[in-house]
Amino acid sequence: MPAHIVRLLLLLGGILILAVAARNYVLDPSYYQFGDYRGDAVIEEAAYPPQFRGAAYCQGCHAVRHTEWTAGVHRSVKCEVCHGPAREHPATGPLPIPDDTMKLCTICHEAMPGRPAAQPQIVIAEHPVPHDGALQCLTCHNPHSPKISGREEPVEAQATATPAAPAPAAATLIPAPRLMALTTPCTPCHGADGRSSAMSAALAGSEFAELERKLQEYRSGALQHQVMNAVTKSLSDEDIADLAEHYASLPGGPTQ
Amino acid sequence: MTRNPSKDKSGRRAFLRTAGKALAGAVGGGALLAKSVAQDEPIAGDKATTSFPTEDYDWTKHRWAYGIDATRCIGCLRCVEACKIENGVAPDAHHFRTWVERYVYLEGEERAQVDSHSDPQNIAASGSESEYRFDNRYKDEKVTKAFFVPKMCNQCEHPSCVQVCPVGATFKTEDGVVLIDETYCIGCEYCVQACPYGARYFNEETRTSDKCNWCYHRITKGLLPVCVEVCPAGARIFGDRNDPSSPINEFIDNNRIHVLKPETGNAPTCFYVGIDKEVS
Repeated sequence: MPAHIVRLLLLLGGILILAVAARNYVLDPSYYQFGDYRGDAVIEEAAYPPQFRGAAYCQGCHAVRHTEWTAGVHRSVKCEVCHGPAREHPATGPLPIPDDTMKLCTICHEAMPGRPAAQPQIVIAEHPVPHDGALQCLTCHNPHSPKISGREEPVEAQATATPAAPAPAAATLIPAPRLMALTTPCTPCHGADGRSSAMSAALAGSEFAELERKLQEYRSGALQHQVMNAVTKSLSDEDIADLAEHYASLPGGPTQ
Repeated sequence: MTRNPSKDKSGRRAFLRTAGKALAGAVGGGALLAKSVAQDEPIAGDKATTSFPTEDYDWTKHRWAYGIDATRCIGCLRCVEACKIENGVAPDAHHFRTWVERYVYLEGEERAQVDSHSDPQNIAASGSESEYRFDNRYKDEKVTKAFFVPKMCNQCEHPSCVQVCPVGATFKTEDGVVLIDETYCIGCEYCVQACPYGARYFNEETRTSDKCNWCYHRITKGLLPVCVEVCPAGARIFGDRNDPSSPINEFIDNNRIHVLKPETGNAPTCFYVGIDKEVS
């Protein structure tokens, strides 16, 4: 064989060896394991640690909260939605407790076109308890079970329950629509019958003068109470008298 | 294994050393090479007996699918936030693996107004680019129809992104998820352009493409994708088509389902309920 052919064959052979060596060296061994990709990439992807651990992980230590939460309407909102990802908690310290709940709660509950009708939504300006910045949603609502029990009582009941002969000062009956508007902010905590004492003072059967004085003091700020100061702020003297008259006229006793 | 020796700081000497080793390996093991090439061919029997990709999870036994009930979405964007945290996506308004679109038809208008969390007005409402919420711009408008549509990678049966990738850095897994191999991705962004759904974005930090993978690291551990986990409205449904009791089968069986842009032939495995003709 002529020398130049031998040299050419040797050169081609060399190139072939180099090419095979390069392929062997550059290509990951798991490439083509399942297809035209690196099989190990799947193993790497599957190995990342989860950041959100799920409610069952929280339950281990926070069993009481977990029970309270699963019984309430917020059970579809998982712990980590508000408290952030658990990651390695508790080893890495406590999880945040949101402080600006006005901002947090309205993310889901601000009335907005496009939200399904089944979603509970509030028009902030029309909320029974006025929001003046200082008052947060959590002042009244328990975030783990936010429904306030007094609200579920029928509102009509209070109008019909008003007896015909009210307390001394008032000579006339309070019209039902006005009474309804006045008592709307009271009912969530005090109950439609004014006898709920779970979250607040029972009002029904109290002295007219006592109720009137207290309402006036809440309005002026002489008595300090976050919620009461806010709800009484816009009441007139006449409103206060009517409210006091209404609750004084209701039969007292424990919540039914 | 160092795949790119020229990047090695010790320079030419190290390169020659590794190149020499490779050459020696090649010359010495011609027969071995031939064998290893033969091994590259997938063997059906092998896959059935060994569990892949983890000991507890066999990808041949699952076929994942995703359901989106747009009639339940409340537009709270908790999915967007959780996804970013879970997957280390940049906490700004313009990089995201999942997003939610708001469609609003105003009275007398034919076309919907569409916006998402990256809209400047929504960023202003949330107060920062790393917080996500829809503003209430339509509260005083006459709205005839409005709804929210969660979106993300559709994990297509015939993914355009996989077809265009020049380096085999993106692929469809046996259990139905399209993954990205960050190590092999060269950041050419062909896939970003090829996706008809705009589901991919470019991650400037890793210089690779990025997108939703249904939280592959979670579903292979028996957890739900994080967007499904945090959705308070039940608008996101996920499950295994191979499991008759899975919620996804119930969702698909009990609803009239749609996919986005069926005309592309991509055959998405995200199924929608309650979307309008204008949603694509």
